Amino acid sequence: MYVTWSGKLCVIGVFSGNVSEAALGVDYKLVGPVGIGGAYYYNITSATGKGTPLGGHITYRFNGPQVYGVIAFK
Amino acid sequence: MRKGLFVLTILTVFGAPAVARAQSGPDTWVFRAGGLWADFGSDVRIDATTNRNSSSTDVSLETDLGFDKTNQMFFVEGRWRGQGKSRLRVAYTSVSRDVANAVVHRTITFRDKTFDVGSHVDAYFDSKYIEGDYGLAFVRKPSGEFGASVGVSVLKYQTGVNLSVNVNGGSTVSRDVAGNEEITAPVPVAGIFVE
Repeated sequence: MYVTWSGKLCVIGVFSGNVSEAALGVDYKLVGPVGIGGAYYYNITSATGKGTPLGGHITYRFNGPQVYGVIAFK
Repeated sequence: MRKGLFVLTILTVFGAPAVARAQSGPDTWVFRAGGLWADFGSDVRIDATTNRNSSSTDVSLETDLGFDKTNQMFFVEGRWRGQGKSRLRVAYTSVSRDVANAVVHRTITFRDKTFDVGSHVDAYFDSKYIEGDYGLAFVRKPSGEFGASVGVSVLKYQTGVNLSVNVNGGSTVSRDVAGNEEITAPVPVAGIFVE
């Protein structure tokens, strides 16, 4: 089982933005190094600028369940 | 709510054996690839290129332009865990969203164009996230670890709105519309992890 969170804040010239993302998930090995996993993922981005690279504003959020394959080994 | 129950079910069914397996020690290499069934919410304003200080219209892609609120995303992630307390992680997430022949219900100014009520438009919003970070475990035991990470994420957004070429239908939205805006920005990263 794993839990991750990261937050980002940046100001580059006339551009400023931040991103937060988080995930809570579980991996399960089926055969050898191969397995499957499931997680819940959340991401929200907010960016504002008056020029390059962005003139305007974007708030973008997405979240939902992840299903994936895993290969893990030592 | 359904998605929350789905996640709880996954954690309940697979959590215990996964934790038990962790007792034998964590893996050095982990690669994950799959899909994310995401709910979206968005608010976008792209100002005129001739005068970046003049505000355009705040547009909800879902409410104003009829983008689907749910969509599938692809992601891939790789992690390496060193023998000390270090770890490296890279990840890539991508989604392409668009809508063809949407009817505008209020006057919208997007970049250098104004779309009046009743206009038919094609629109798209593509996003890509490329992440790389270095993690340091404060606590590392055979059963798991806890630590912090620093790194860089590169955010790339491409979006555009233009009058529909064919108001009678069609489902293909060109990524080469006149109202394109492309944003690529590296963003410093700080985070924590428990595994």
